Amino acid sequence: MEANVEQVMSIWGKICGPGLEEASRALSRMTGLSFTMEDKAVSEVEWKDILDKFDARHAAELYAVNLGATGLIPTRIILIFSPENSRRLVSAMMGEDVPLPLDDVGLSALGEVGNVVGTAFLNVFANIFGEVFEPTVPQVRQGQGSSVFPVLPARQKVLVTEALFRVTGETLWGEIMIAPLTKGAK
Amino acid sequence: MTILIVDDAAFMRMRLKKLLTGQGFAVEEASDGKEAVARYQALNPDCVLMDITMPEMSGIDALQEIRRIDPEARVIMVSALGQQAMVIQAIQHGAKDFIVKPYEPDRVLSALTKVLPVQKS
Repeated sequence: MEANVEQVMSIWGKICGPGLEEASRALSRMTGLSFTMEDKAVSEVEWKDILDKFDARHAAELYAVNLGATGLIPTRIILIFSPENSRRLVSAMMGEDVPLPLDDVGLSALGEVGNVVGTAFLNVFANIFGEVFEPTVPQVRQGQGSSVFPVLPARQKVLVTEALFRVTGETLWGEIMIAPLTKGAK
Repeated sequence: MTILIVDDAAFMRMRLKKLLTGQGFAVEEASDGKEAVARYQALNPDCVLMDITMPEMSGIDALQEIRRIDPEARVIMVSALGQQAMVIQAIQHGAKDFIVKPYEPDRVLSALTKVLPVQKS
């Protein structure tokens, strides 16, 4: 099936809810915990505006999970959490309080959240297009402001979902960014 | 019985280790395909739980290498959703079963029960 970036963006926007529901089920299965995720706000913005927004937060410390997807249109999926939200999420998954900065196991746990969320979105997407999408190995980065992000063209369109994560008494926020790459982007 | 867990994600190794040691298995770990092959040769485990997507040497390449060393090796592949093509490839290369991530603990245990030889009391 042929598709261009605009069509893909439009479909991504519509599948945020089902994608997060599938991700919630998958994370619940994986951890044995009760995970739910909701999309509270979805917007389409240009990459340069995202960089400006994150750098305007006085270069706040962030954790970012970056993964790619191959298939119909190569796509970058990026999950963003504040250090405190990362710590609470990883603590819930590991069943014990973990300190900051996250150690290798903690970073790996955060990477798995990215992996599961990304894969769940890709599966919903694959069901629509009837094509298999394969996620790449997630990379977790910790740093200040936009330094945690991959390099994308300034005019790249990105779908940003503010997501509410609920897990075993914890409620926390994260942002999920999806960028179907235009020609020439990596 | 000894199970070799192969996954580049430390969190996933930790989860599996917790589950399997709780069931009385001895557990060894490797974080990529190359290390898995070396650990297999050194330890000769009863079964390998092998992730497919890993840096360095992929799970499929490691499976082939392990089966070359030991044609009787019992290897269960651990795949992400959407990796059906690679699962088929792994089965063709001699994988005994596969588990799709994210998995429930019971699925892991039932795959091991299916693959491991029955212990005589």
